[in-house]
Amino acid sequence: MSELKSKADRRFQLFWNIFFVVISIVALIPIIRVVSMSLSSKDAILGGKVFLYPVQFTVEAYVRSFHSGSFVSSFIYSVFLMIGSTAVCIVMTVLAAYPLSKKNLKGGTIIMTLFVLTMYLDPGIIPKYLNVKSLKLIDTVWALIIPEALSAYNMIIMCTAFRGLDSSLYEAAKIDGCNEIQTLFRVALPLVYPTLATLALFYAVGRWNRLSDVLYYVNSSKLYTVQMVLKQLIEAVKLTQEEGIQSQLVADNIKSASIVISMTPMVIAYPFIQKYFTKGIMLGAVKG
Amino acid sequence: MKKANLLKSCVAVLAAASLVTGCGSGAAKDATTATTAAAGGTETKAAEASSSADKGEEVTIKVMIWDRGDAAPGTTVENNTQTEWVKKQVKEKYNINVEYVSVPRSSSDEKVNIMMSGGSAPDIVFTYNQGLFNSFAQAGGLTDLTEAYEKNGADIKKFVADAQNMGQIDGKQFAIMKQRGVESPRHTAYIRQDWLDKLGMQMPKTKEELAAYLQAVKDKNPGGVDNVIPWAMSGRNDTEKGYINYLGSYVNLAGDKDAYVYSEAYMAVAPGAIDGIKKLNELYNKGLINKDFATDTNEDLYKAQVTAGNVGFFLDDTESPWNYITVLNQSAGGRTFVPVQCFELADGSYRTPFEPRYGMFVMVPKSSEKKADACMKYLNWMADPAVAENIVFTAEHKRDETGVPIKLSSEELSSKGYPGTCDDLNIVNLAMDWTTKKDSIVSKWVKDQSVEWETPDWFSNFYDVRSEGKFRFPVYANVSQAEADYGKNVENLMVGYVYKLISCTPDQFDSLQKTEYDNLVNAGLQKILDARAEYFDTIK
Repeated sequence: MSELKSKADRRFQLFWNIFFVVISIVALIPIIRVVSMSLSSKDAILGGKVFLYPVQFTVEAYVRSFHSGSFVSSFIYSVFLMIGSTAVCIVMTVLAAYPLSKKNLKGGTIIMTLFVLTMYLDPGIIPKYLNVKSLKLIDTVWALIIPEALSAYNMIIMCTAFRGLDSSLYEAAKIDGCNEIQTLFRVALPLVYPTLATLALFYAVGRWNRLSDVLYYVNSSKLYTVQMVLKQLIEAVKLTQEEGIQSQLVADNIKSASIVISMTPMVIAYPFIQKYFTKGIMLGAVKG
Repeated sequence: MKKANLLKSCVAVLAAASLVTGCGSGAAKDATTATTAAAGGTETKAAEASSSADKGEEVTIKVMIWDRGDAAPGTTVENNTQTEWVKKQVKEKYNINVEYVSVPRSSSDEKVNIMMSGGSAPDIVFTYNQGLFNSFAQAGGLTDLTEAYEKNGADIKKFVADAQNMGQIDGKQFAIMKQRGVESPRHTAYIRQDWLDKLGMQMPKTKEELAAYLQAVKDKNPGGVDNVIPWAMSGRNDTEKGYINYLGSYVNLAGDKDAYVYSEAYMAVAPGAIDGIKKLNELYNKGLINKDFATDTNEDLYKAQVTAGNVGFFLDDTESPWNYITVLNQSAGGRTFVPVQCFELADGSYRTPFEPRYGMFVMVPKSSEKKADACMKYLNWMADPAVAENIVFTAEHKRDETGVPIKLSSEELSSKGYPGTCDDLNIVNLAMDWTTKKDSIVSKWVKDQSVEWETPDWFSNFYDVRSEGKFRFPVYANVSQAEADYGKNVENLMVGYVYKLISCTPDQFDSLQKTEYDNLVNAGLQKILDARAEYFDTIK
């Protein structure tokens, strides 16, 4: 292949290579900086000495983060919440998308339109809050799962993936005696697993990073996710000014260590799911 | 094979999910049972201890509490050693059960707003935001506490009466005001004592002497540092702390009316302030203020420069710079920065704006009207400085020889199950006995430092310098419609206005000032100032 490349091709290739290397560096620098800060002493950070490598190396910040009560427990809770919520989301998405992918579903277009409408019309926070309140979900873990259990956008991607499967597969399954549920689980789902993995990642990342519902719907600090605890840590400085009380500032190295710890699950999960990523999103798009 | 696997893993994930979510709500339930059990325990004890006749009916009130993510391991901010102590006291005294509802500190106003709108706010909520209090009161969302205050607020009247007028709208008490502790100025300037000594200069007493010092620092670089910055500023766009005291010294406040209209956020547009901005522009163009300050919006560079010892002078919050000076003193091996007051007024005196005495607005939502008396009893109980001290420093604390309560170390707090910030439970009175005496305050400062970076003399001098020219702007509970609508935006724009004028070239100054001022007027500035003047006239 490379032998066939003309000079122009090679220049083109070189340009894009450099371009993406630069983009990656720009994206990486803040992460490297946070990691180095988390491994530096707080005096070195305050003195502005830390940029790309740790100064006065110490792991004290990690030790302190792990010893602070709420951070570790909220971290563990957040991981479980993320897994549970992703599972619920995927089940809901599949069960909505599969019937809607059938051309012969009565009223399918209307239902689909209703789904799509939710993408354009947002009721705003107060009506949403009142809704969650009337469902008696305030201050329960369900308030963090049910309201966001189905994203219309992801459901449409799933639906398109199902539609992309060859209709003869469905016919064959029917002839072999599968009912719809068996067809879904034994035929359709195994064929769209890249989409499934991608959507699971979308939902998981969304849940991991989402902050507003934790703020609005939950009143017990036991149900705070790790992102909420992080926000407290990071914004602590500004607040003591307003209050006029002198309290110990949270050191920058502890903040950074907390950020690094909260980033870890995503950094670990990404490489495993990444291979499905482009495949999953494109699967329906091209064939549909 | 593959299909079966997929099905299996699906089922496994689902099972795990239900387990987890089950766990979550289960844990929450456990917590509630624990609370009820604990409350029940104290109840029986209380009943045995004294007759219930004088304590009134049993009432349960829900009280908001801030979560800063610093609860001790195994506890929460709602349920820990300190909250249990408070619950027990209040139960024994008034037969009131207290339950806490946590609100994340960093998004407190947002959450309170949502809970108030959704009708699910706890019985006692609070905010530092006057605008929020005002909008709740105007919308009829708050209980009128006038009667409850008269009936059950004896200690509040006795100890924190000064601040209470801020909670009144049209003669009705809609909020109980939390009173601040140690009287404190809003901002303090710091100067390098060691550089003054090297230059053979006296401590500046006027702006002119300050300018001479700044020029000398630039010319002679007494510290021999690489990147000397005579006056360091940051570009934070949410605070006027870096320049406001300087500008204020150019403003002549003729009377209470001027002081109210231009109180502090509007100082930069008060008559005369423009001369101050012009002077800053002159200093900037002489290279006496760091060139790129306006881009340093999160003050990282500023902090780094001060800490690294490249800076000769700065104006900042009053106590937070200690964090930087601590590090600098250690690396410099001795005294560096000292507080200074050199922004003289036209008559040679000083005016140092102090924090108002009021702090938070503590409110009872309209939906909790029936519990107003119980809420007032709870608030009144902690208005007593002796009680407040036990809440802030825990019941186990000791006092030192000067009568200052000694704070438990964070390790002690954590091992005994106390939250890191017990202060948050004390929502009425911070003015404890020790907060009024200089000796006690200085002794507390000295003891609170984690490393010894200055002598007690330094702190004593700090107290004197920062209090020179103590001044309080008049405050009223009223917030005009114009201020509610445009206030926040105009305040932020004013910071940008000053930064732009400081850092432009001298020949652009006048034209830029004109256009930028017009922008402020268009954003609502004039409406706000007029409304403030009008309000002042109506009450006088």
